[in-house]
Amino acid sequence: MNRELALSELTPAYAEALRLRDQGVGHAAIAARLQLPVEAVPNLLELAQAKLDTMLAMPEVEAD
Amino acid sequence: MPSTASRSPWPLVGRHEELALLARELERPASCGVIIAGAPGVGKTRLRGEALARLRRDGWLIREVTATEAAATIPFGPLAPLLPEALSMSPLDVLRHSVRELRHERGNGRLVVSVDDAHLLDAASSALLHQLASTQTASLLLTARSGETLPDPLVGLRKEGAIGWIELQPLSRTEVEALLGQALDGHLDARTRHELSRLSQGNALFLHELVEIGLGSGALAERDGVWRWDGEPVAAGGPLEAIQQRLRPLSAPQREAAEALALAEPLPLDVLERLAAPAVIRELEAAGVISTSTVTERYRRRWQVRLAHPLYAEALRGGLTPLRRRELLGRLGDALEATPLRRGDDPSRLAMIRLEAGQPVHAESALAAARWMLGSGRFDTAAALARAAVDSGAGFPAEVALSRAMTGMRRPEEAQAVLEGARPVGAAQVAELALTSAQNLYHGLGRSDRALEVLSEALDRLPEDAASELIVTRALFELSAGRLGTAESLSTALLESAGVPLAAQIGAIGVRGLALALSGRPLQAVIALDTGVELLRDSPELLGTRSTLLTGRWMALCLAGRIPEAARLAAEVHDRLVEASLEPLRGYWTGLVGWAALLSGRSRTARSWLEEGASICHRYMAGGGHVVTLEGVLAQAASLRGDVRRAETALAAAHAAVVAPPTEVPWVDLCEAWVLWAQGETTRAVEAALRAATGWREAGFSSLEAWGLHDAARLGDLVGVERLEVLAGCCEGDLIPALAAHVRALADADGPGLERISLELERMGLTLLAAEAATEAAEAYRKAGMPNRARVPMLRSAALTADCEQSRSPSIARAATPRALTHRELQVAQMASGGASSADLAARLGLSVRTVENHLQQAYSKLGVSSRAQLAVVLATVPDHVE
Repeated sequence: MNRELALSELTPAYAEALRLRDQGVGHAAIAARLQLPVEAVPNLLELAQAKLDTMLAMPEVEAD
Repeated sequence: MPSTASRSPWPLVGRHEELALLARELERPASCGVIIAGAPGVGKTRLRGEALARLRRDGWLIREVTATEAAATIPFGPLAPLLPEALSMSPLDVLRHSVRELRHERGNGRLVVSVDDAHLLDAASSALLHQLASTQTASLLLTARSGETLPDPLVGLRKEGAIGWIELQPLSRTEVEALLGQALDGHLDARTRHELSRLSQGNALFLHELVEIGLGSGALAERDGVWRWDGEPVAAGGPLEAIQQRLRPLSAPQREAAEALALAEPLPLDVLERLAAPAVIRELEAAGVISTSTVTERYRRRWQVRLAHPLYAEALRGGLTPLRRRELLGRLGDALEATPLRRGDDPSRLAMIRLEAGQPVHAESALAAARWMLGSGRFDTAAALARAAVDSGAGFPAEVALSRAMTGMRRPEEAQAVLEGARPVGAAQVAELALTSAQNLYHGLGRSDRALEVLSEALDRLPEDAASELIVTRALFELSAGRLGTAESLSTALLESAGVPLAAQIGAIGVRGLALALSGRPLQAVIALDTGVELLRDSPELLGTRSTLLTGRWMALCLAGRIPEAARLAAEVHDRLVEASLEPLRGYWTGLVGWAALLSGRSRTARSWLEEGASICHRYMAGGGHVVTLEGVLAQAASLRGDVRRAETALAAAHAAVVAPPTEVPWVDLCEAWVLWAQGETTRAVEAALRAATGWREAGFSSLEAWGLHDAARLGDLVGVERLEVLAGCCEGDLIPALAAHVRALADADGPGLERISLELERMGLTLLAAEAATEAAEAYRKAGMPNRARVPMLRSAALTADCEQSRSPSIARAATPRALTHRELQVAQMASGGASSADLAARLGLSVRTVENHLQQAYSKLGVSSRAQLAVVLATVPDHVE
């Protein structure tokens, strides 16, 4: 699965957090955008990355 | 009746990464635990359950509870299963005993205390969690609903980074589909998967409810080996509506039992069995509407019942009419009363339920519950319970409790009216009435003279052994009225009497210490207060009523020039008050943490503490010294940050809160001086500072008089130098002599003297004053034609100012303004400080080398430096130097 497709499969908050991080946006701004406490951001990014890695390791999903 | 087709718990799918992260968070060095936050129904509780199961397998000792709205009406209610019998103890005692018992239970193992829905915790319970975590007694594993306000102690842990925060997200489409496949143990057609995923938005509870609705109606069924939803899977709104839809088929007895739980969960099983037949309870359990568990309380096992999810309670409560709610509460009260009460907080709970149902409340239960609520700062509930106790004939003690609750609710006229109708019996009750009345008159109504009269009248009538508390309070009021000698002699005489109760002894030591500190004897004050601190250490339950002792120590340390010690004391007492949930005292000490920060020049930090402290105090008090003090310091902090508007509103609030003019008005005058300075009204600012000094002189507050005269000098008028030198000769400690020497050196334009004073002030922790003295030293050298001598103090000033969070004071502003750089000079200076040569700069800026060097020389001269290295230091530490 390519990265963009894998990102689109993630829960929206994870996908947005990773996209913002990739654009160099800091934790405070990510927290503001996602309406979270700033202390939640490091773990959110860690989970998002782990979920993305899981998705990337999955074979392509075939449509029914 | 809801379907039971998929009754077994659903598997946990799509949470592998979260579980791994949870485990890492708990193992992180110095971790206090983890909070799992998320939307209702997203799967927080399920994830917590799985994590706890794994921890249990790994040998952790687990203590878990679920907070509910009903339990949180009573302090420590949600944590009741973990606690000693609580009603007879003060909150502080409950904390101490609980920590000790849990530590004993844990032994050498690892303990996790887990709370579901921690956002519903009362202040006392969250304070206990804070203490368990901060003492490393237990790790916390909490869930909380996103967007709900967490209790302050838990927010504190989060902000300190001590507790990890996992914001649980809904499941992704892939995860939803995997979950459906496992839950239904079969293949779903693509449309059903898609529709259920779309409708549930990845919310596991909503998904579960949708599936239950489909199974119940037969729309979702396995046909030809494929699970398919015939027709549109419709559930309006979100999880709440889906739950309401699912609960609709409940029979009347089933609904009634569920509604009773919604009002008062968790309920002991034997209580619920008085409201519903055992068969009904079993049916509800089989349908997954309720869950039962056992808790061990004091070596006994107790069965308790709760609804399967907090949203069930919301859905059920939302459907209750007021009369139906009242009727249910009445039946609940009867059931509770008929069941042997086993827990210490059960009488309070019963009193609350009876109260809400509008039924008669047992007088003793209501009074005990009211006192408990008073101790926890829940004045509105305390007032309702106290009134019920009065109505049930509890008499004088209930009237006093009601009056105190009214004072706490900022309704002092009603509090006074209650007391005027009270009929005390015996000396102890007469003393209690006078004390309560005087405190309400003073703090609530701002009538300090009348408060003193009430105390005097009672003291004339009372025998000595009933009078000690009144004497302590009178001494404190006398001190606030500017009669230091009376305050000191009253408290000294009490301390010399025999048989004075410990609480009164500690109180008298506090007043005496405060009087010593304010009259210029802070070193004697510290010694005297330390004996009281020892006594208080052995009786921590007195912390709430004897805090004058610690306030006195804080003030004495400041006035002795020991600011770092004062800051440590403020932080330590603040933490203890947070843990003990003692409001509004916590507010005052939050402010003192801020004041200590302001003394060290950190105006930004100070301001945020002061804003919080003042807002807590306002919640409980109309006026008085605490509010005047904190609003005044806040006005100063805002002035030093150039925020004139906030400074003005804080000053107005300080003015409005004055109760004891002789000592509070000078303080407001001094704060006004700083606000006027921020407004550019320098002449009036000096007048206000001198007025403050005069007011304190009249009250005999020598230390504060010196502080006022020194502030007048900082604002530009050195008229008080000789009086300051007199005060320096008769005040103890290093501070007042240093302030006098500072003003003398200013008056004499004594550069070396100002440098020495700067070092002395820095040693005391007065960083902003030290920066000012260094700036003034540089200025004195420049004016004396010695620019080279100015460099060292200038660099020192820059370094000290950098620690002051951009605070602006008169001498720093005066020094910065005419010496500011032009934009071009700043640009050249910044590039040069990075190591670029003049030739490089010339090429990059399109200027000649000569022009670049001219700009650089100008910058050197204005900033008082002579090298690129020094330039780098100054530019890094002085932010505002451009015109």
